Amino acid sequence: MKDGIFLCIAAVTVFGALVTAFSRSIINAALGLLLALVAIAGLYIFLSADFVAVSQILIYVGGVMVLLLFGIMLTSGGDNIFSNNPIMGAVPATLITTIFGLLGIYVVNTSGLTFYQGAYRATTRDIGHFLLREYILPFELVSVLIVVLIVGAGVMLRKELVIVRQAPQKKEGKK
Amino acid sequence: MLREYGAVLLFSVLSIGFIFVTLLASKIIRPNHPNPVKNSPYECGEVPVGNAWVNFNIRYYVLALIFLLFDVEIVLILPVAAVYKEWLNTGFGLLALSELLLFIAILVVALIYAWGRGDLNWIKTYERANAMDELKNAGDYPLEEK
Repeated sequence: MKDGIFLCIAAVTVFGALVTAFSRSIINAALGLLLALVAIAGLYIFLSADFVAVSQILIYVGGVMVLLLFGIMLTSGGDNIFSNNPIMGAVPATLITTIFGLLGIYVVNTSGLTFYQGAYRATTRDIGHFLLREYILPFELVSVLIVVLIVGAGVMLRKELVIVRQAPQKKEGKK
Repeated sequence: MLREYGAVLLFSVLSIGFIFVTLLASKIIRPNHPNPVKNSPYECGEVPVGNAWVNFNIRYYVLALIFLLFDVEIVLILPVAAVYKEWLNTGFGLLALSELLLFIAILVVALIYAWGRGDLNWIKTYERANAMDELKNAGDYPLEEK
């Protein structure tokens, strides 16, 4: 039962990834990515990583996907919105997929990593204790990092929104 | 413990299934007499003009970017909130609270910065963001010519 549900969620993840890779409409590709990201959160729960699953939902599904969809909507859709996701070439895609697939298999085989087989154990409380005790400095530093990022976003925005002010025409005769 | 996520799974499957069942049922039941006017998107009775895909304002992107950063903040506060009661019961509640408040206070600085710059305003006063540029360029391009 448990393995069956795991395999179903894994199949949904692969399906979403395939839609992302092969859809000719860029909006459909983004929605396929959304499906894959949600399903990955389910896989995290099966691997006893509930905090990572919640982070995945909140940050990737709630934040990054919104950013990605806005990124798409900011562009002009192209002439035909049903084929605006061009195929960049089957040969490089196959090559890259093969290389990284073999690399992944090699890493998993040599690192001694195994699937988490033990009983499910919630980790959020442990992380909370660690954040308040051992890792208090990194916890506060993350806050500083976010401040830096917000300031950086503001600076980026400023470059985007600078009004091009025409230099006034200098009148002939004066000076 | 893992069993508790069964409710989440059931909820997801039911909510997705509900959409499919509803659409399928209406497809079976409804009469099918399409015509071009019926098939056009509903625009409050107006005839739709042009494509639905228009360029969005860049301001949406900036707001989404700032939202994402505060999203990260929420994710980090979440595990602390989960154990806060335990810390209260062991007598270190004040310590946990001050650590959390320091975390939030640093972020409030960023919020005040973004607010003060006018990044959160929907209609941004461009002059405020570009005030320094204008001061710098004032010598080259006098704004008012006499």
